[in-house]
Parts: sequence; C-alpha cells; structure tokens
Amino acid sequence: MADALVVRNLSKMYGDHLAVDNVSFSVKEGEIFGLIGPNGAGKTTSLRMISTLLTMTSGQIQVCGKDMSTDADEIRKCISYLPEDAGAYKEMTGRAYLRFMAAFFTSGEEMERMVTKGMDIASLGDRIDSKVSTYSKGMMRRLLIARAIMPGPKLAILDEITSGLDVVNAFEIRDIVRNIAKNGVTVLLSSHNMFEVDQMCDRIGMIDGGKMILEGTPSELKERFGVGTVEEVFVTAAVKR
Amino acid sequence: MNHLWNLITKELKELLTPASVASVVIVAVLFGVMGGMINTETEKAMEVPAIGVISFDTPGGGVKDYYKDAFDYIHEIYGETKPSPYITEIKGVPPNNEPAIINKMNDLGISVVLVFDKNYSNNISKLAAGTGTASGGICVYWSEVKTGVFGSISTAMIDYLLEEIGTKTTESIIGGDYEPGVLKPIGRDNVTSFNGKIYDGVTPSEISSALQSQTLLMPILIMVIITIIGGMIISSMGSEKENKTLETLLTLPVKRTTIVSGKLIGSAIAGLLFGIVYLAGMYFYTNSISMGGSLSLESLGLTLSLLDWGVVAMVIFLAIMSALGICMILGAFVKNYKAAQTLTLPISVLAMIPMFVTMFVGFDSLPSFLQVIIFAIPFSHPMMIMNNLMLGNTFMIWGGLGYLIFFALMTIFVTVKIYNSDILLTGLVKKKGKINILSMFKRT
Ligand SMILES: Nc1ncnc2c1ncn2[C@@H]1O[C@H](COP(=O)(O)OP(=O)(O)OP(=O)(O)O)[C@@H](O)[C@H]1O
Ligand SMILES: [Mg+2]
Repeated sequence: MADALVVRNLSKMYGDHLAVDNVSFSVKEGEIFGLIGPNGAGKTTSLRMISTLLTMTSGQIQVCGKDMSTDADEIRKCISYLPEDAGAYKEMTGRAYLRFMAAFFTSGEEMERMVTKGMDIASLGDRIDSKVSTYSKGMMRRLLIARAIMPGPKLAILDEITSGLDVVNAFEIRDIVRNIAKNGVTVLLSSHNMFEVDQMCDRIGMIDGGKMILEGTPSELKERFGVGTVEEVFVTAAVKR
Repeated sequence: MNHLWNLITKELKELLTPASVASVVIVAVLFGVMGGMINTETEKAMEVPAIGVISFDTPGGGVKDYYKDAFDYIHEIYGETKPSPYITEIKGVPPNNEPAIINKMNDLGISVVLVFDKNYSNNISKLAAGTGTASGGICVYWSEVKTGVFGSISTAMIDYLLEEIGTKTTESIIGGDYEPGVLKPIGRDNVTSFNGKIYDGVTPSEISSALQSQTLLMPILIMVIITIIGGMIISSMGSEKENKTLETLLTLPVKRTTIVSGKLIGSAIAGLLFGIVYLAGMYFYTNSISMGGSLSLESLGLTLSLLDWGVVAMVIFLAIMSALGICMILGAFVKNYKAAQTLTLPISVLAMIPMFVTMFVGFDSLPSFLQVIIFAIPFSHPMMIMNNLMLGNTFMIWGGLGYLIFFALMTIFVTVKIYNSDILLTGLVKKKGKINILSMFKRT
C-alpha cells in the first residue's frame, strides 16, 4: 500500500515557543492512525499544519503524493479536516449546512447525492431540518463528521473526534470512522480516549512536549511495555520522561 | 465583601482589555480634537467680519448726507474710531457693475461690502419729510460662501449691523422715543458671488443651506452604513473563529481570495440594503420637516450630470470596500464574538469625524493639517463628493477617487495576505518580547 500521508522532521514555532519538534511519521492508505499525548503536546498544531491551516517552521509534509510547500491547493482537494469542538453556522439548518458545504465540491445531481449521503451518515432524523443552534453536542458532532466524510476525502483529519460525547454517540461515531477506513479512506485522528484508540487505530503515535516519543500498533506498544492496555502504555511513557 | 471584591476585579479584568481601553481612549481624544475644531470655528464665525463700504450716494441740493451718518454709525457699532482697519471705504468703482465690485473685493480680500445706492440720502430725506415711501438702498455684496452650519453666522452679524444703522437713522430723524417700525429708512438687497457666478438677491447662508439640505443626507448615510457593515463583518469574523467554521472553510478546496471576496461582497450587499432602508427613512424625515422657503440647487445652477452620479456611486462603493477591508483586517485579530464588539467602535468613530466636519464645520474652513487628516480618512470622500462635484473642486474629486482606489486595493491586499498567514488562526505571536507583524508577509 502507498503512503497517504508522509510527515518528515516537522517543526512549528509559535514565536519563541517550539510547539512541534522534529516529528516524523507516515500513514498508509486506508489506515487509521491515532495521535495521543498529554494536553499541550502539539497534536492540534500538527493536525493544523497537515490540514494546510498553519505554516510549518521546517520539515516536509506530503499528502497523497503532493507536497505541502508547493501544492497546498491540491492537498485541500483530497483532505477533510474536523477541528476540535467545532460548530456550524447557527442560522442554518443541518440540511442547509450540508448543502452549503457540498457545493464547494460538486454541483447538480451529484451534489444532491452527496447531501443525501451526508444526511445518512449524520442520521439526525427530522432534526436535520432544525436550526443548528438548537443541536446538542452529540448532534453537532454527528453533523460535522457527516460533512467531513460526505465528499469522500482521501485523508480525513479528525481532532478529538468523540470528546464530550455520550457512550452511544461515541460508539456510533467510531463505527462510522471504521467503516470509511474499510472503504479506503485514510484517517488521522487525535484522542484522549485510550480505549477508543486501542479499538480503532491500526497504529498509534504518542507526542509529548512536541516530540514523537512512541510509534507502533497498539499490540506492539502494549507488548513493548509489558502492559495490558494503551492507557498503561501512555502513563508509563509519560512518567518516564 | 471579599467575594464581591473578587467578582468585581474579575469583571473589570474581563471588560478592561487593552483593546477596549485603547478604543475608548481614541474616541475620547478624537472627540476632544473635534470639540476644539468646532469651537475655533464658532469663534471665527462670531467675529464681526471686516467690511468694505462703497458709496454711490449723490444727495441733491440741501439734502442731508445720510450716508455720512451711516458711515459714522458703522464705526460706532464696531466700537472703532476712524480710520479703522475693519472698515474700508472703497473708492473708484464704476456704478452698476457687479463684477467690478466683486473683483475689487477679491483684490482687497474683503468678503462683505455695503454698497449705498445713489438715491440713498434723497430717499431717506423724502421719507423723513413724508413726501416719499422708498427706503435708502443698501446692497450687501458677498464674495465668500462658507459651508457647514456655522457658515451662516457671519450673515447674522451683518443683519444686525444693518438693523442698527436703520435704528440709528430713525432716531436721528424722529428723536429719542418712537414706536419701533414707524419708519423703515433702510432697504436691503443682496448680491453673492459664489463658485465663479454672481447671484442677485441671494445670501451666502441661503446658498449653504440649499447645499446642505441636498447633501446632508450623504454624510449621515455613509456613517450609518459603515458603522453597520463594520459591526457586522467584525462580529461575523468573531463568531466564525469561535465556532471554528473559519478553520473548516480554509481547508476546503476554495481559493483564499474567493473566501475573502465572499465575505466582502456579502457584507457590502447587506450594508447597502441597510443603507437604502435608512436612506428611505431619512428621505421621508427631511421631506416632512421641509426646509421652508429655501432655495433649490437647480435655481443656482448646481446640478449633477449623469457622469457625476457615476463618480458618486464609484466613490461610495470604494469607501465601503475600504471600510470592509479595514474591518476584515481588524476582524482577523479578533478571537471571539465578545472581543469583536469593542473593535467596532474605532470604525464608527472614524466615520463620525468626517460626518461632523462636513455637516458643521466644512472642509474648507479647517486648518491644513486637519484637512490632511480628513482627506486620509477614506469615509470623508463620499460625504463631500456631491458638494465637490457641484462646485467643481477637481483636486478633491479626482485626488480623492485615486486615493480611495489605492486605499481599497491596499486593504484587500493586506486582508488576503492575512488569510494566507497564520495570524488569522493564532493572532499575533510574541517573539522575544516583540510582536511580529511582518511574519504574515513570509508565505505566499
Ligand atoms: N496560537 C498559539 N500561540 C502560541 N502558542 C500556542 C498557540 N496555539 C498553541 N500553542 C501552544 O503550542 C503547544 C501545543 O498546543 P496544541 O494545541 O497543539 O496541543 P494539543 O496537543 O492539541 O493539546 P490538547 O490535547 O489540550 O488539545 C501548547 O504549548 C500551546 O500552548
Ligand atoms: Mg488539541
């Protein structure tokens, strides 16, 4: 399988503060890669650079064979980014929001198909025609996941996908993500839920203080540390530093 | 009490951010400067203007020289002894020649001249003897028209002067006690030179109020549109950031220029719609309190051609684009909806300054450094454009248009730069104590 995402020696400075420090990893097509790490580790900063939102201070990013420093416009065509605790335009209904977003990718009948697909994924029932401002956190997250997935991106970048969601909503969203990966979409996600990462991710990378300190499949990592859960891996690795 | 104090300090810290304090201070300073401007302008207008006097009076045999009396009265009223630098007797001007008088006034730098009619003394003495009904004619020549509300005050000073001459003449004829209005010794006429033309029977304040009644709407309208649009665009940027919808937009396969244009044009349309509603409201308002008896601009030959209206539309459009550009730039630094509210204040103040200046003081009466400041504020130009077009102030029209084009392009250029940089998402980041604004020009 080819690499959908290659990150080499990526660094980011905020003024004098080094938020991401020489991070390298790659994600294969159809793989689910999970970024974990303590608060302020640099996960969101890394994801924002990969999503073309922030400039890199140094390093290299390739998405679907295209280079970030020269082809950011091309990269935007094959990615979907879902920011952590994002919202939508409050005056729109869920359906109108999906339609608004779909219009950036296609038009006519194909757009209608994309919106229908989005509504299926969101599965908000009648509430799809309520105003977004009336949605609960879980409904909002479903709508946004749906909008991120409906255009059929090659790489979906999802920051803290299930944070703040109840058990059922989190379960369903994990299911959706696993499904799209099965259909060949590459997923790069960040999470603070170690159970979720263990279950979903093909491989995990742990960032701390801007550095990538661990990388491997969940079972590899558990074996290396001689523990039973990813949570224990996280804690042992974090304490070690 | 401790809890209360704790809550109060928290509240103050939240409310008194550097941005909000700065914008309030700016407003206060600007209002102070404006107050000073208006003050000096009123003082100037309240001063009795230096006047010239021309006499064509030819008293017949045995008739009293009432002109000589009037000349003395003027000195008395001014509180001056002869010869006074404020009162100049002009000689050697041919009679019945308005342009010659106006030219002479411009040569001498005198803006008001009282011209005494050739039958001045004859008419008054017939009136005094009860053998005639005509008054002694004084025609006031004006060679300068001031715009702004205070422009009309010097007219009032001259009105007072003529009234006093009348009273004193009456007293000299009838003696101490008399019924006011029993005798009307003075008949007054006006000739005003304005914008290269001579208007008979018109005072400068009539002209400036005619100009105002037609052009007063524009400054208010522009101010309102800009304040509304400014508020809208900055708070929409604030809520887009708060909801992270901006982040989402920026990762879509759309050009940054398209996103910027979408925001600009969307808010411009909304602003224009609001503007039209306000315009309609203002139109009915001014119509219902119609300025009774005032001159129409058509009668003064002051009208706009189709090309002129094109220029007006262009200038309004460019000013709105500039306002939007400034707001987009300010909005880029806003972190959330709340912070957006305080940032709209500087914009509306920036629009209010030229509004007050054009409405009350008039651009021409400003000292030159303030003229430069007013010129530099892009919103001044649409407020002044109609007057400038009617009066043919070429420099202000084309210079202003050129400046606006430059300004609008600059703000849009800077906005697109910001949209292509980290600043939009991270704000200004401190680097070794310094804020690095130039970092936004690093990337494409
Ligand atoms: N706009 C910014 N300006 C300055 N520093 C920033 C900015 N955004 C993030 N940082 C810093 O960069 C570091 C990494 O932050 P980042 O948001 O990437 O962490 P994270 O791993 O996503 O944390 P969390 O799990 O809490 O979301 C932190 O130290 C943070 O303080
Ligand atoms: Mg984060």
